Amino acid sequence: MSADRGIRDRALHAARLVLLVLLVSSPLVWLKLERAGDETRDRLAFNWERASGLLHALPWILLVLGAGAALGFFLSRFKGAIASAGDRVRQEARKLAATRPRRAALVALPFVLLVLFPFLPPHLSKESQLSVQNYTNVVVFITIYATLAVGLNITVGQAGLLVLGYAAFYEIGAYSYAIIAQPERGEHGLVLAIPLAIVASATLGLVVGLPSLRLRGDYLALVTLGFGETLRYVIRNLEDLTGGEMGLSIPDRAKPPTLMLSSYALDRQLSVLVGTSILLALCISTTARIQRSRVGRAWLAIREDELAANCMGIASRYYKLLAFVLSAIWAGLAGVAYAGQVGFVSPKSFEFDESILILSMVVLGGMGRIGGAILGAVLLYTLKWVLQDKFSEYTDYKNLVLGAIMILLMVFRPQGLLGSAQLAQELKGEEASAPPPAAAPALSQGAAP
Amino acid sequence: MSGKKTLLEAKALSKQFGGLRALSAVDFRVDEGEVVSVIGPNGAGKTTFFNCLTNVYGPSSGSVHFLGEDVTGLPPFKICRRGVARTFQNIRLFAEMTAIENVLVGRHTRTRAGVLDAILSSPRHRREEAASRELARKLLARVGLEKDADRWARNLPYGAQRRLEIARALASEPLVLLLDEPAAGMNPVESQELVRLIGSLREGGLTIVLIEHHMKVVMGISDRIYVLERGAKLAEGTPAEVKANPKVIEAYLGKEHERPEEPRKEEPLAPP
Amino acid sequence: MSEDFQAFLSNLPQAIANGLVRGSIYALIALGYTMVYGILGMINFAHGEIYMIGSYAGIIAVAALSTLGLGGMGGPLSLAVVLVLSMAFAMLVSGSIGFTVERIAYRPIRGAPVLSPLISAIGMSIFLMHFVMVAQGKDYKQFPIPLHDKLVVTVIKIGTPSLGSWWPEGSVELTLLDLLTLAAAFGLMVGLYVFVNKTKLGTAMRAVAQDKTMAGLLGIDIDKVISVTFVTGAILAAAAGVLITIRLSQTFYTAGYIAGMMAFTSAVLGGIGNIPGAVLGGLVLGLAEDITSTYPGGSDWKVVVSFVVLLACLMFLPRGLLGERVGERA
Ligand SMILES: Nc1ncnc2c1ncn2[C@@H]1O[C@H](COP(=O)(O)OP(=O)(O)OP(=O)(O)O)[C@@H](O)[C@H]1O
Ligand SMILES: [Mg+2]
Repeated sequence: MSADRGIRDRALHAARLVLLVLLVSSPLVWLKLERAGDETRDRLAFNWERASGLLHALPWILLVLGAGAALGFFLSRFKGAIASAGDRVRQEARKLAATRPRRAALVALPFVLLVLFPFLPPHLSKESQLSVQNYTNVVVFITIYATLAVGLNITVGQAGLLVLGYAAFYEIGAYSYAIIAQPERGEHGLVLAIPLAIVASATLGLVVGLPSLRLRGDYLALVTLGFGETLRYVIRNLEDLTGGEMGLSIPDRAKPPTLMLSSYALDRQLSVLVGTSILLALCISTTARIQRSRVGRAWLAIREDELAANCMGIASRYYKLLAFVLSAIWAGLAGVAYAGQVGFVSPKSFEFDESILILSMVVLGGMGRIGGAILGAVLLYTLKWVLQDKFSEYTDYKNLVLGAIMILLMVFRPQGLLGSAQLAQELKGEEASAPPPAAAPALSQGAAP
Repeated sequence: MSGKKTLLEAKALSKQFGGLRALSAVDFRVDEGEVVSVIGPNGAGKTTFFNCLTNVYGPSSGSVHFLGEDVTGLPPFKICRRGVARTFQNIRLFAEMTAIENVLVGRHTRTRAGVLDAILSSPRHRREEAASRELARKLLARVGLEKDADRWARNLPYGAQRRLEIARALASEPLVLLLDEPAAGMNPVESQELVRLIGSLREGGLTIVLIEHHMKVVMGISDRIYVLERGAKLAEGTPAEVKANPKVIEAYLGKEHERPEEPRKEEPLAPP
Repeated sequence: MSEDFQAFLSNLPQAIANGLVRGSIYALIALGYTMVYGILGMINFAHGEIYMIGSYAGIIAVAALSTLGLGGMGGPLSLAVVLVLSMAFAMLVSGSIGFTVERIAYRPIRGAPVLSPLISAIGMSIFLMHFVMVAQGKDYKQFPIPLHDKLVVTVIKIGTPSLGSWWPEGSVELTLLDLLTLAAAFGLMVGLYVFVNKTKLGTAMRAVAQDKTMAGLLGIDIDKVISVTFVTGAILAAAAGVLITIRLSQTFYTAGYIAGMMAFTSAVLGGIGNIPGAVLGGLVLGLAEDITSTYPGGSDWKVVVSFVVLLACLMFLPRGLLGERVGERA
């Protein structure tokens, strides 16, 4: 009975919100500005095409709404059954992942499969080579983004430092490679690019990190954002070195070496894939090890309460800088991988959107969790790619959908996809051993002294 | 007190907040093995005193000495490294870390493993990790939290959070432990346990400075007591001396007669 | 003394005037960031888009009036009435969208970990930007040129004297639009000040900003106060949107990005959460931008200069120009 009421209330609430949205969006949706031939001004018209378009789409919309409602009804009807099934699955999963090596293997397995796939021999026809090439591209980018997300998770998730300009470190890595690869600088390859990118990004990490020692929260966020934007402008304006707006391409001689597996057209791409896979594996394993160590605990402590961490003997300035530098280095290396993969760099590839995309990966997956960052990277990049490549006729709607999904995910799962598992579990444990309300936890941020 | 080392000493310590003199020229000393209490009405400056000792607030004037060395102005983490650990009146645990992780953070100053140790899983890293975990379990057991080791600090009941803070401070193997109202919000059973814990710590040779409102607790375990009022030292002495001091009686009773039902501001608000 | 520099000096007074006008527009947008931050502690990333939507709504209103033959180009309504109506319509549209944004994207996750509302806001910003792109098309939308031309006429011209041989003489010109912008911005800010400090709702707003729990216990309807805050911020942003559209005589669906960024920077510069700070920050940033662009070749570097101003300020005042100075209590 009461469950029914709950559903009805929720449905009503949802309906009200939908109505509200339809209402407030109507001026922009139904009115259009149009200009006839040589007129000097726009005239306003009712958007009839959209109306007829909507009429055509109406069955589909109703279908989706109906399916949604049915799903919602089903979920709330069988909440108990679903929850217990979920528990069972979770238990099984926990049994399966009882030891650390097993857990690592479980995480690694899908990646190994993804990465090995293009190496399997039967891709001989021209078309299948092309599609494999496409696929390889996607996997390379997934590994690059996963490296970036895991790297950014160090500052944002572990040390609690909101960095909004992460693409700057990515950019400086990519440009380090592209600049020394230019013919007039000797067409150097990865051997020089990798150490240079490490040094450059680590230095930039220090430079951006230093203000963090004085600034808090959103002030820091804006400063990192500002550094990112500034670096882009500097790169754009230093045309002699960076090619400015036009960007730089990497000559063939400086590109990553091929594997010499065959005359296979994929050869270079496969070698990049091997490289980025190694990079990602290194990134995950070292980051996971650090997270479980004294250093990782110091970061968490700073994130949770910097002052208390200080009083427990943690030199928070040192650890914040360390987080910045390590995080920057992974982005720098990912930048080298990017330049190696694409063979071309320009300021356009490292705009604010890019920082936001990486940050969204970290948060969507579940902050502070390496697995979450990887999951976020896989999901968001795949989503982006699918929207771009598979639904290219709807390409205008790509970002609309991306934005909507980000909102929905946060509204329905604010802790991120993986993050909330632990929280929910913890909360459940709390209910089970319910302490008297008077003894409720007294921890809350910003409590008065 | 001759023969015993002076551990922590404050000389004419003062702290000004704008126009408010929260602490004025307080002299203070605690010797090895002592339990010293700091008492005083709400707003007397007790917490501010701790904050100045650990340099959470830079004192406006005066100095702090530890084992005879001037430590005024050293950053809090260095003061902790030398052997001063503290708890907070408004519990400041690491909310989304487990109980045992909180205690392990307390080990920070007594361990050395850095980034490279962690990446390479060096012998030092493994040795320290194992030793710290063992010690942390012992400390949790000591404060009665062995069963809660893997729960998030935020999900522990209030009294348990206070005890966890003590365990975290103890993990840094301090020479002096500063406790800011550890019994606040505890039920009688819990504060009994707390008194026992403090007693056993003292038997283990630990020096303790205690801020407390529960007079029973204070009178029972203190060697000496400092009384603060409006930032200044009103009296100091053994429990018996302080109890008999007319100025103290007036300050305390006078206050309570004026405002008998003043709510204690440190009482926790239930979270929204 | 190089010629470039002399030219720069002679143009400086004009740059300062332009900077103040630009700054007052930044300030209008920055107020929305700072008010929401003061109350919810979150950066409302979608605020730049609210401003952009205001600029579209302004154009739509003017077009509607002229399509109906009421005003704009030769209808019965005077220019002033057309402007007021289009501003009002922009405020209505932006205000209601601001209200809806909060209801949908932020209210359900109030109290969640800090970064979740931020990501939700970023999602909302992406969504709104592309919603406008899809709904209104990818082309620039023009504010009717004849109206623009009627407003951009110099009404004040003051010559500035030369100060010795190294500072040549120059002049400051202000157009009708400049004066209108300054007056509108100033009027709205005074209105906001009165609203926040003298009305009951404004007092409730300040109470919620200080302590939500306590305000709730005192019977203040927190949901309502938060909605009002969003709507107020959106209204100010809509005004800024219309003013800028007239100035540039066009708008575009990405217009919210740069303006939002600059306004957000202004809010932080002034001390985020602090209302006078947002105004001051906006003015400082507007001045920095216009003065830099006046220097030959400087306009390439204006973003960098704005950022350097911000960084320099935060190095000395980590909480912005007017931010609270108190340290953390322990
Ligand atoms: N960071 C600060 N800024 C301004 N004033 C402060 C600050 N910290 C403390 N005070 C003021 O200093 C005075 C002493 O405060 P303190 O917290 O030290 O008192 P206390 O003795 O610990 O009181 P209680 O028994 O309530 O804990 C109070 O008036 C308080 O408001
Ligand atoms: Mg106190």
